[in-house]
Amino acid sequence: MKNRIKELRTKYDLTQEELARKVGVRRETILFLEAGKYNPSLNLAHNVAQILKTTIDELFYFQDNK
Amino acid sequence: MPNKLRFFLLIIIFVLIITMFLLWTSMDVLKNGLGLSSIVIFIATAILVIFAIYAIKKVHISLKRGDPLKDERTRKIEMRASAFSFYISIYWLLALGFSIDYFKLEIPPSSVPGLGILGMAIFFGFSYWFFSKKGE
Repeated sequence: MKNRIKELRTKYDLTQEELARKVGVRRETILFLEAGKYNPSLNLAHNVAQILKTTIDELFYFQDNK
Repeated sequence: MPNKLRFFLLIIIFVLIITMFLLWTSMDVLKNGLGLSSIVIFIATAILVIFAIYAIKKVHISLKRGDPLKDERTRKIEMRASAFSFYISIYWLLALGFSIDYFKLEIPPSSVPGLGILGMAIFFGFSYWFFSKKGE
C-alpha cells in the first residue's frame, strides 16, 4: 500500500514530529507510515487524513502489481 | 499512567531484575564455584544490563521530545514479539532439557526454570528489535 503522506505533509509545511504530535503517535510511526512499512488502523488513517485536509482513499492507495 | 511515572517504574523494575540476577550469580558461584551455570547467568546479566541501558535511554529521549511512550505501532510490535518469543521459548526449553541430558551439563535443577524465563526474555528483546526495524 502506498500513500501521499510525505507529499501532503511537506505541502502543509509540517515536520514528521509535528504531524506525530497532532495525531498522538510517536515520530517513528509517521516515518514507517511514509515509507509504506506500516499499515495504520482506520482511526489513525482518519486522523492523518483530517490533519492533511484530505480523505483516506486519496491518502492511501494500492499500487497495481502487474 | 503518566509517562514520567512509567519511566521511573521502568528504572525500578530494571534495577530489581539486575540485582536479582547479580544475587543469583553470586549465590551460584558461592555454592558451585565458577562453573558453566554461573558463566551463563553472568552473560545473561550482562545482556540484561545492555538492554536496560538501551531501553531507558530510548524512553528518556521520548520523554524529552514529548512523544507518547506507546502508540498503536509499538503495541502491535509488542504483541507480535510476545507471541513469537513464547513460541520460540517452547523450543528453547526443549533444547535446554535435551542439552542438560545429552551433554551432562551441571546446571542445578532450580536454575532451569530461571534459564527458561531468561531465554524467553532475551528472545522477546531480539524479536522486538527485529520487528521494530522490519516493519509490516
